Amino acid sequence: MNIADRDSSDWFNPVLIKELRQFFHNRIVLSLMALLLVGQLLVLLMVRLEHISSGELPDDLGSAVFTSIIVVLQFCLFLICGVGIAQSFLQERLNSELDFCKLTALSPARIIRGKLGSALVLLLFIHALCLPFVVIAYFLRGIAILQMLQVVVLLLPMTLALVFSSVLVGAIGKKGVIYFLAFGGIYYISMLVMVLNDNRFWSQGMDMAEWLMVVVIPLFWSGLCYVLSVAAISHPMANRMFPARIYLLAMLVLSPAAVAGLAALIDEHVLDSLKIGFSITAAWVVVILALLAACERSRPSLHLQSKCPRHVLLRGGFFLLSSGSGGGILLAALLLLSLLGCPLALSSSNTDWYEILWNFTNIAIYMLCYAALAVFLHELMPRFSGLAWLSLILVVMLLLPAVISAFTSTLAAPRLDYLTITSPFYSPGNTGIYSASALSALVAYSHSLPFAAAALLLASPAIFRQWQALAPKSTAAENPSSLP
Amino acid sequence: MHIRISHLSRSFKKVKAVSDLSFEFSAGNVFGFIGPNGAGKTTTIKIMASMDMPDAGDVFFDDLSVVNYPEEVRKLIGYMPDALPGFADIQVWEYLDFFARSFGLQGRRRTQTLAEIEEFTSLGDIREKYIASLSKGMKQRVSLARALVHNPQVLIMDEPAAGLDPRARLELRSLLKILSSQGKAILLSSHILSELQDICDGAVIIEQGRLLSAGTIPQLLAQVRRQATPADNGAGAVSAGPDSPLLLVIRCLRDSEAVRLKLLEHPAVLDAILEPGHTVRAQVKCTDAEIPALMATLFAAGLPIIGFTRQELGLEELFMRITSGKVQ
Repeated sequence: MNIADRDSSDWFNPVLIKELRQFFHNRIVLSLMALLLVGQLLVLLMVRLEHISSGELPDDLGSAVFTSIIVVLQFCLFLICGVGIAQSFLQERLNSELDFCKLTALSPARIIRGKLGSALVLLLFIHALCLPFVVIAYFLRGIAILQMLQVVVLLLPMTLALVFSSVLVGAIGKKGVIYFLAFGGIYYISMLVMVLNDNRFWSQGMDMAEWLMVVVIPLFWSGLCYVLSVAAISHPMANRMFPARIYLLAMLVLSPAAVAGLAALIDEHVLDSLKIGFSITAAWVVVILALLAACERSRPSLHLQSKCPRHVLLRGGFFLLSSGSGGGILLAALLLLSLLGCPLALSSSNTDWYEILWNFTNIAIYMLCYAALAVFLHELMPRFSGLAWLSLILVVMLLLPAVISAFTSTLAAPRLDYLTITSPFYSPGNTGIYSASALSALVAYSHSLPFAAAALLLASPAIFRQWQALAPKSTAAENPSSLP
Repeated sequence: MHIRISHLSRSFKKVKAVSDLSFEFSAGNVFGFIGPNGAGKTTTIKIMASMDMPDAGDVFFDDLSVVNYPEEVRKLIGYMPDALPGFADIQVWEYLDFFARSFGLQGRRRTQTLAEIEEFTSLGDIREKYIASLSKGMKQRVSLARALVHNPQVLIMDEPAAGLDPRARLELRSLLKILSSQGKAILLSSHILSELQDICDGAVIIEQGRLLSAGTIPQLLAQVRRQATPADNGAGAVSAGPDSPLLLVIRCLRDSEAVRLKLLEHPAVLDAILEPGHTVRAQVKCTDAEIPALMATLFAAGLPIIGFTRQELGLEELFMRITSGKVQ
């Protein structure tokens, strides 16, 4: 096509244009924006009533007003860019025959990029709406422009995580999932209030854990939401978990470097941080891989079968990285094996992180166990999906024992801690006796590993069957009825 | 463009919606996809449109597999589903503009194509209305316009005439005829068989997910004529073959029993039965040229006949004959 024949809007993603048009036609979105402005006005009105009438302005008034403006802004962002985006995408996906993800020739990644792009434009627009109030806060004194920018920039990863999560919720296309977003929103707003009220946040004195919570984990989560969103709207035949697995493995490689860089920035021990970064990321990658695998299809699609390499080694790699519960569980198990030695290797280097480390590893072992059991049960009774089995297992083996145990301990009744043996809550290391020694990891593993091994053994026929299904087959003869 | 459905199977838990279904057709014709409720029509259509996945088999558009290249296949087909769009925050032109953009139409070409489509589907007057505020017929037009926006070579339509008023049906029929004359392959499922017969060149009949019959309309009718026997009567009767009985429907003012008896005296009449409304339905073994003589004997006897028709074999009779009405 001749460039002269294009108009400027042709350079943009079609989904971005459609979404922005829809946002500004949507009465709910416009009402929420009005609500945001009313909220900001109310903040200023309360300040006037409280301070200006008395004639005295405290030195930190600007900072207090700015904090209130940010909280109101983030709450509205949660409603518009969080719930609003998730709900609108969900509505589009619920009617499968009209789902534009399936009706157009746009690639799933392009669709998600369009959705995210429109959400970011809206995010900027809403921030711009608040600019006059921020200027007023500045003139009330007690806060510098740089400090304001610092807050906005530091909140950006969490806001991005919210937007990416909303798109994921919409992409999944199940009504019930939106309630998880509500829980996430409550967590997000409470985190925000906590961070903003922490004096260290204002003086740029956050420690490693806070940096991880506020910046690194939200960014990691945003990336994961992106690949999972793309997977969720991909054709069911496609190798849709491949990008998610590659992303998780890439995170495993990159995150230790990121954590070490962060450690160098805030003057912490780089080598220890590198080891810790790897161990914690590996533990979470195993957890995510295993839980996702339990929800994946139990037999390879026709597309995967046709695309699978014939050579046995290449087929092995393809099996581990492509969609399917068997490959996912096996990959998680292999990563877990590489992770098991880490807490032991780190036992003498950093006692602050050591307990957290082997606890995370233990969680990974149990989660792999639950996921493998779900795969086994789905193979046994395919009437219920892997997700249904996984949910049941999590309730029966993880939540219920923990609740009963906690309940009995508050009643001064005989303690029932042994009930939690099927969950990571059962850990003799938690008593503090072994917490700072390599023995604590060994004692914890002695409970969790037999469970995981048994579950993997049970799931192994299902994994093997999926592996065999990828073996090359001859195609059936075709003799269709012919019309002219 | 040649479309080949090859050994397609799809199950939903224990229900086999489609079972080893194979047929093929080519561009430039309209094909009816017929079957009772629950026969597997929508499932097959959804798989063809890359909206669903088969458990086994594949659909090929020329050599392009819907299993392996669903996004490429979407560029070749226009799918008009049974469900209609109902977005409250998007206008008709914005909806079509989005699909035009998503299929890669840019700048002047996009504007021109959209104007042509709006004119073809008569959407010009309502282009700035919100889709949710449109009537069913208008939504149907929007859906058709959306399916045509990228000028697909194949049009797949699931119950396009369902719920439309007679005028909208006639308009849809004329649009389909124009599209077919443009060389597009059109596959449409419908329950209104009399209308399908007027516009379809061929038909595929399925039941319980299995292929019962497929061919051009004359081929299918000939197939049923061959199956017709003199013992057939009533609603199941078919006629008009060179070696098979004709079916005459005679309406009387009164005394229909007398007409029936008079008919049975004639050597060419195999059977005659009474129907409600002073109507007699007769199976006659004769040629078209002998019918006037037969009717003359009735008039000569002074019987009060007010009309008669030689019933044509149609898709409805064909459908009733070869389907059992079983659902899964």
